[in-house]
Amino acid sequence: MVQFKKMSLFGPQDKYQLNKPFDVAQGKGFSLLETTIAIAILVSAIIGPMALSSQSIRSASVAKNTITASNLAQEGLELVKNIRLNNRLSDPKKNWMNGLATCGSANGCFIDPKDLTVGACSANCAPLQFDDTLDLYNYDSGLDTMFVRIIRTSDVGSDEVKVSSSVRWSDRFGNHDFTLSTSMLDW
Amino acid sequence: MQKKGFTMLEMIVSMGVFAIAVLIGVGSLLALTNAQKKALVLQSTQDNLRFALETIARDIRTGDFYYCGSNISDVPPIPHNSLKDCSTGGPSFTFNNVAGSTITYQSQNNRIQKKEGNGDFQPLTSPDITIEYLTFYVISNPHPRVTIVAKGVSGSGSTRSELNLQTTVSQRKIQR
Repeated sequence: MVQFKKMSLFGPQDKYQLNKPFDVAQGKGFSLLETTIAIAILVSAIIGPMALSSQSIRSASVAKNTITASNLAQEGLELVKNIRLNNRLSDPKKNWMNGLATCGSANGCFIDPKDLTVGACSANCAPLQFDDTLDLYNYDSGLDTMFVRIIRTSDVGSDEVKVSSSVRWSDRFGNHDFTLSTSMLDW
Repeated sequence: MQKKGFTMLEMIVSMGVFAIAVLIGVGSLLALTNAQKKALVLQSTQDNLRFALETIARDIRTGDFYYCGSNISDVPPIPHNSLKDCSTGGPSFTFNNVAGSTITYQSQNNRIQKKEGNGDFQPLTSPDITIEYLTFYVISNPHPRVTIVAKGVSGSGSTRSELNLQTTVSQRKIQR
């Protein structure tokens, strides 16, 4: 009669004692170490892609707000340019930076896109409001948004002004800032 | 003989453990595909709307003869040389671009469309995203500026994503 040698996963079975009635599984099954490793592999296989996808959603929503902010910042610069040309075209003798004096202060100013009203910013500038009926970011009507736009000007020479438009917002991923700047000449 | 096969208890326990492991695995896989879908929808909304708005803004900035249509059939005839403001917003915008062609932008069938000269309207955005509005505010006092607002929505339910953008363009050309 052929006698098979009893083997366990880690070696011959006969080095274990098999005399107690409930020792059936001893030497078989998994050790704590094996279980821990197995669970660790499983968990890391799940956590890896999960972290990756949550990171991708996070980046996408930060990108979403950055796109909105960059367009609003661009709007700020265009409003300053529009005010300059309105000054020039309405009366050639008018100061080209007429109405923009408050933007030269340290706190900067805000400009409404509807009527070009220029307002001075205090230490905390007013946030843009969103009008639901006009679908418009402005400073007159609607609910406050998280976006704060500060426009600053500084003289480079007598005929040149540096304009910067900075949009700040804070969402659940932290505080963000998007700034655009340009140089503007007196013409 | 005692140590051959599995006991009922072992089977139940191992199947229970396996079921839990599979449940966690499949659950997280489903969450993962959902998250991926969400990220994709976000991406496509952003790409489409950003591209459309940037194209329109750059085109308008260097153009002239800003004409704001009060409805989508309010498109001036070619050759176009008229001006029209709309401080309360209009859904259509016609102008002459820097090359001299007459261009109209408006939203039709939930997509942003562009018309050049006497041609047909060509879509700028993908059919996957729905344009809820595209409105132009044209104001000249005396120099013209256009505020463009657009909102795009895509996906549904938990993967729904919406984006509204606004920018203003001041005409570069001086027209008197």
